[in-house]
This record gives sequence, structure tokens and C-alpha cells, in this order.
Amino acid sequence: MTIACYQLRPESLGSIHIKSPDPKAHPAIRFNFLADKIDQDAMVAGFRMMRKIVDAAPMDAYRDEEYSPGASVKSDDEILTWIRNNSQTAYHPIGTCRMGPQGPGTVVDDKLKVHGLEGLRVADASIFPTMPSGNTNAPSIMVGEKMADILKAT
Amino acid sequence: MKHELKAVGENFRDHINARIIWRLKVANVSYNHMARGLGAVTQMMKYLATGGGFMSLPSAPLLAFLKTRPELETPDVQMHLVPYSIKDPKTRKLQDFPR
Repeated sequence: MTIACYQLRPESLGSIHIKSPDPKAHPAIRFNFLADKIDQDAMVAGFRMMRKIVDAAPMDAYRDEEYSPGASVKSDDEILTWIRNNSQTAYHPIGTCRMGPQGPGTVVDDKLKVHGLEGLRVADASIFPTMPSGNTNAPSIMVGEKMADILKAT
Repeated sequence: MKHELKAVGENFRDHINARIIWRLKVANVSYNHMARGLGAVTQMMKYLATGGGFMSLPSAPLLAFLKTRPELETPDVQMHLVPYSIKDPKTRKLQDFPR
């Protein structure tokens, strides 16, 4: 059996930038996971909570050994290093066309129009200013539906 | 460059999943056991006939939203608990061992 744990609202900020005008060329993706100490502490604490759940008495009849990472990963530093080397994206990338009033940190306005341009809107998870506290499927659908309502009203 | 917006591509966030895998003492509990050979055929047939069995379950039958510190107002971590283990997250193949 497996338990997966992620911090709901990471502070660390990464980036995605194109490397060439060719739309087929891969972009440069920098996750910058666990840069912020808040994120490091939350992930180490979450890791320990997973072990605590499975170590609880009701699991005694089911639980055999911890297969991965195993008992050799014990201290906070060891846990953090292991998390850095062995984690995966949960496939919830967001934020790179951030919504907000026109300014240096934003890309779209509250009608999802790209600042300074006519005829271009963005209606997906890239407009989220911060990470929703859970899976991003429903919020992404919500953005699409809201965009449809906005367009139908114009 | 037609229109410069420095914020494009910045503010990138994602959820990072740390997974712990345990072996189990008992058989017939983990999907790893049910998803091989004759068990897989049985589960597929059960799904087609009744819409039930483990093929009808979401990938995580159990979720938890938890606080890593009691003073937090709202949970700060989410867990997915699954009765199986994956050998390789890229290929998503199940582990060889049945538990």
C-alpha cells in the first residue's frame, strides 16, 4: 500500500519560459520545489504523519515493513533530502498567467483578458494567483465555465 | 517580441507528492494482488457486469486533509491513501510483489 502526501499551499515559486520561438521546442521548466522553509517543514511533517498513521495500532494486523524509503531515512535532514530526490509532481501546475489588476506581477484581468492586448484571453489553471487547497481539476473547470459565462454576456 | 509581459511564466506553483510504500502482511487486500493474472480478469468481468469491484474505485479510495501543526486554522497537507504500490511513477506499472 502507498500513501502520498503533498503540502496544499506551497510558498516556493518556480517558472516556465520558452527557449525558442518554435512552439514544438520544450520550454525551460523550473519547479523550484521546497525552496521556502515553510514548504520544507510542511513536507517533512506530512511525511512523519504518514508513518504515524500506518504505525498506529489498528494497522498492526496489516502492516509489514516500510518498503520505501525504509527505516534508514530517519532525521529531518534525511527525510527532506529523500523527499527532494524521490518525489513527483502531482500534476497540478498553476499560476503562470496570474490574474490581478494591471501591474508587474499579473498577466490577465478579472475578465481573463491579457493586460494591454485585445482579443486574447487565458482560461485555465495558469490564471490562479495561488494554489487551491486540493486537486486542480474542479477549479480549472470552474475557470472555463466562468470564461464561457463572461463571453456569453458580451 | 510583440508585447512584453514579464509576469508570463512566473508565479509557477505545483504540488509535490512524497510517497511512502509499505508491504502488507495479509493477502487479498492490496490491488497489487487483485490486479494480476486471473484476479485481473475477475475484476474486469465484475466491472463490466456490475459496475463494481476495484476497477470502479477512484485511484484513491481514501483522502485526508490534515494539519501538520495544531495551531493552523485549516489543513496544510493532503494525503491520498491507496491499497497498491507503483513500481515506477513514469510508467505507472504496479509493483511485482503481491502485497
